[in-house]
Amino acid sequence: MTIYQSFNFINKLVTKSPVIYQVRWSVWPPMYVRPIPRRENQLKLINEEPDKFKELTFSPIIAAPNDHNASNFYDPFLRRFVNVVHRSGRKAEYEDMIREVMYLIKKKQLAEWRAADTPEKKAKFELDPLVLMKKAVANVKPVVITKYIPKGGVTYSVPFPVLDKTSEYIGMKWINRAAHDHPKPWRAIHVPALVREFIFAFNGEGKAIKQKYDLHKLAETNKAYAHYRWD
Amino acid sequence: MVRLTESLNYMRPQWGLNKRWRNRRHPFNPDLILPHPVERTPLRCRNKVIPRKSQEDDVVCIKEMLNLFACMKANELNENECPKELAAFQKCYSNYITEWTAKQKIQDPTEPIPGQTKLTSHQVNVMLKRYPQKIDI
Repeated sequence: MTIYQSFNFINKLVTKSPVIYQVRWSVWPPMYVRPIPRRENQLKLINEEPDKFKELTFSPIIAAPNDHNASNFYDPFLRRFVNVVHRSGRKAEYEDMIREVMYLIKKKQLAEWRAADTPEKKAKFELDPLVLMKKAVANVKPVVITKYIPKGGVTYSVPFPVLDKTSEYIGMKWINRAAHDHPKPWRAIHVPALVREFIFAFNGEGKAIKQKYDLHKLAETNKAYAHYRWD
Repeated sequence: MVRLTESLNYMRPQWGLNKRWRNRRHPFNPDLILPHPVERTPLRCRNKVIPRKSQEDDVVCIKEMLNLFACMKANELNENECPKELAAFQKCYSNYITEWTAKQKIQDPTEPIPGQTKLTSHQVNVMLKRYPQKIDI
């Protein structure tokens, strides 16, 4: 896989869109307010902006999205990761797969933690799989991205600043792709491969980390083209 | 019966005939000549400007980006070594995005906002319509 192919999907990402919220074909009248389904976000609003919360108490509210949830077993990070991993809309199936991945991460880390004899060695292992996965994605997140811009018959890869949301998506995609990089019957290998890639990324090594390094290197070498941005 | 000779008696309008040369033998009267249309207009600014694109530079945060690259190159492209530059870069871009989204939310872009220092051409036109220039020449 060449560098051009491996970073090509970034070009399709939209950094900013002129549409803030849909109006023309919306079912909801304009006075309806967007919902805040998560309890933690509601508490944040109450503590930080009480005046705004007072306005919202008696205003009509749009129905929450189907896949949002106020449950304790729901994590928005995991939902985003499932959205990256899943194929042909089978989210429930892939959610189970992610649960299996978390179970295996826990199992592997616990076994190594028990095998370690000194407390210094034991401190290196993260036993909470969710924390480990979040840290792994944070390690893989790129700081800058490059986009391919044709100018005068030449395509330049131009460095762009990136939003936090987009860079997290790219990090998740790279971890998934690193696990996906196998010969054809990949379904059987995908779960242990994901486990391995998460632990690799947590420790700052592996394919996904190398992808980030390559992208940073490309952006650094092409920093002279930064003025070609239209953004 | 149709009378064909009658049509010859009608006066033909003198389209395209130069009035100066109608009396060919006499010199024309210079008082009758109008000045050039540019000279006829009074010498003062009009109460409107020509709409143009804003000349703001859309390419933002170049300086911060180059600072970050310089720091990363010194530390083997490891961005964790330079948190100060990274924070400055991310803050710059997020500020730009929030400003940009706030600009998109404005309902009427021609309406000038009170306390605004820089006006667009449409806003200037609105202001000039409300408060036209009082110049007597």
